[in-house]
Amino acid sequence: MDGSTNSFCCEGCATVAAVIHASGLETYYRKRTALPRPVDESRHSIPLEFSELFDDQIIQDQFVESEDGEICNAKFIVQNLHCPTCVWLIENRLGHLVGVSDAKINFRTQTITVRWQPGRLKLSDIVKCIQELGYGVVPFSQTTHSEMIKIRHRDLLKRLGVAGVFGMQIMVIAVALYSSAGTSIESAYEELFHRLSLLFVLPILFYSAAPIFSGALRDLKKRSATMDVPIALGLLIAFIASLSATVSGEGEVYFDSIAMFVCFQLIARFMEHGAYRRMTDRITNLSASSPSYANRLTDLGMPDSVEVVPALRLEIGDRVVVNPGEKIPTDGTIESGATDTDEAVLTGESNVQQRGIGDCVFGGSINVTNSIVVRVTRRSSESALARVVDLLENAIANKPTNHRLTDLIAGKFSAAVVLLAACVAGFWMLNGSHEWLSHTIAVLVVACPCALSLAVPTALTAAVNAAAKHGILLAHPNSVQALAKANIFLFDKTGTLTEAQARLGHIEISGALSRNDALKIAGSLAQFSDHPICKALTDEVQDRFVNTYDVESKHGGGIQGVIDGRNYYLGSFDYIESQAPGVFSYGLPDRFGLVAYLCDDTRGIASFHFENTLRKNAKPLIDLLSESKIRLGLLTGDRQSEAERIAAELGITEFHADCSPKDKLDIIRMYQSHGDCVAMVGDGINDAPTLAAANVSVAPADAQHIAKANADVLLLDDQLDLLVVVRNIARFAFDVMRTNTIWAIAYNLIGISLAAAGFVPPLAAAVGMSVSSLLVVGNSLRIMSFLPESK
Amino acid sequence: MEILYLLLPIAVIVSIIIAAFFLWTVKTGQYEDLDGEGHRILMDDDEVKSTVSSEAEQ
Repeated sequence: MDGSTNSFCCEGCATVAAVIHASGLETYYRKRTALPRPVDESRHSIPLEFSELFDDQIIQDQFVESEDGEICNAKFIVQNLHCPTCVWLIENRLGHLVGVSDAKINFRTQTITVRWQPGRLKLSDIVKCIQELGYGVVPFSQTTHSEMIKIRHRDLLKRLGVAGVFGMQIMVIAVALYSSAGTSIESAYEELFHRLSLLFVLPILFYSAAPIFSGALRDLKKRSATMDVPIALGLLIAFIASLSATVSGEGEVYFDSIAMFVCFQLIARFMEHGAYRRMTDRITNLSASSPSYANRLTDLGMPDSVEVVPALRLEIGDRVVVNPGEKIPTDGTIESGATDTDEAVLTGESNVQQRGIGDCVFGGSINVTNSIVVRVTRRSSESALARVVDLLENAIANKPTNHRLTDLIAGKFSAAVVLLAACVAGFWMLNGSHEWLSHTIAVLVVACPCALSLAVPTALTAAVNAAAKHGILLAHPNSVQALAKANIFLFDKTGTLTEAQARLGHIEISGALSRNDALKIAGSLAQFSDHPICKALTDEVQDRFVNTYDVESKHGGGIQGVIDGRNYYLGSFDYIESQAPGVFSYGLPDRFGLVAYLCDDTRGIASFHFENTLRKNAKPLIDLLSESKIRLGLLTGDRQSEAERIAAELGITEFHADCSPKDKLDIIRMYQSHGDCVAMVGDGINDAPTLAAANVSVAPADAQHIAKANADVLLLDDQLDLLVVVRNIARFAFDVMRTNTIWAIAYNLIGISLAAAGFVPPLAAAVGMSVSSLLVVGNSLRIMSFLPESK
Repeated sequence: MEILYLLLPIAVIVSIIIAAFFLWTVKTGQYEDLDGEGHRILMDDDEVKSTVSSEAEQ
């Protein structure tokens, strides 16, 4: 390539390079600024050979839009985009395809929009094309939620731009007016300046500030005051006063205050919304999943005739083949074959389940050991998994809302201001002052809570950005408060605190063979099974295998093999009893169901005990959290004994075992009804409803997509101690919010009392407002430089 | 200072033009991908053609 020889790390890279070369797109290699990471197999991108699925109407219905019949457009999330050259590569490759009229990648959202003619090209060919270049493709179904976010973002930007352009003109005029204060400015010019300012303030007030007014109106109708109410009140009064001053030529104008005020407000809202949008986009991408598929047997009596269909197309009575490692598409009963299934996704139970002919298997669980044929008993929309999703939607609808700190103050604040203004007016009127009106207006304008309304949003935005720097996504800025206040952290066990895969713990030797030899023999036999426990054994032995002959494995029981002319048996206690009765005189209790026994024809040799090991960082995390006097709890679908062991090891006192998703939900609600603020940490589909119901929820990096989609906090690194970091950020942000709020209220109180005494001209009001706002923003920015070490 | 009677209306008109122009840029989605576009302009398509044609010559 380019006249030189290149070596590749793997077959995959070489194929990709060949495709790129054949399309004449080698510039990619010269221009790229970031090297791709090795492909992460665990991401559920659909396998290349199944891309025909994308041609199925039922799948296309979810993300393809038809434009005038001729051209369709589809949106995908492109995984593994590293640098803008990738964008160029994909766009050019697709651009060369006949039938593609337009392909455009949005690098920020990592999505591609393809417009193509279905008559000339199949969607699966486009998908294949991108996959051949080494990128993963997942359909992007535009949710109404993300569409709303986009519209609101544009809307805010427009209003902010208009406020900026006209606000600047008003400021220029205001500076001219202020600098001439005291000196004689010809009243004709003063009038001209005022009228122009009035002209410029109209679009700001009626276009840019419209959301503030409509928000205030909505809140008044609901009789619940938020920050919008006092802001709208202040704006309106300042405008009416300035308007009458302009028309009558007497009194003060506050146009510059209005313009600046609206600008500050919109900037804060825009920043807040921008942080929220970035997080939502990333989470949408992280939690997107490929359509699940099934290998359906087409004709009775015709073996091997299998077609790949979307799981949605499966009907009751269909027969599907599920190979080891594949997801079971929907609920059904096993018609032939026997296997172990991993149902952790539904139940949280970490041990695999043995399933034989006639047993039920559940959609979403993973077939671990052998190929099976399943007869579908429920359509995928009615499967057990779909019911968990229903539970989840229900939980989202009833999620406790976190009331904003400032909104709680707002109601009392506006009432107090109005009352105060009335007192001030009364006082000056009784004293017979002519200026009672202008003093009262000054009070109301100064009372407009600009700094106060910025106090919380700026701190939240800074917290979101600070967290993102440490690899933590805060999906909902409002969760910062809940996270800071959470007094109980509940953990899911499997996949969150413990590794998903069991590890070999201790070995008991009967004395017939040395520990090492026993391990070698067991590991060599274990090679011949896919059972997770056997994998743990082979991992332990690694490459010290001994030659094994005549291997026979019995499903769900054990393995028999000949080593050095001797028969050896490895398996469960029942299996050993059936093969060589009585060899294990001590007949250990089946501790946690995770013991494998090894024997020969006459002697018991060893028993291997497996356990769910804690994830690294789990123990330090728990220690750190309990140091800060947080209550800790464990929720798990595992058995009591296992939960007890893990809880004891970590020092967690409250634990709940044998929990179904429904039970977990009830437990959370129980805590909440006692007034606790619950933070839930979980990773599985079975945790998703619980995550949604908790006051604040955290999902680790490798969580199931549905858990990620519903978590408030998402840890991007596989490090649990990020939880402590994000908690510290949240607490710090909460502190900043509090000082901001106190300071802003103090400023307003001082301003109001000065204005009531008649000491505040418009210039002082404008300067005071800006300075107080900037102080609040500066204070919030401290969060951005937050270091995880500081507590 | 009579010049203000000319300058200020001009300021009004220019402001309106700027605001309208800005609204147009937002409406056409020009702020949707601020990272990608900056790089896209550096990627010219000529190079592809030259690579393809040099291949053909060989």
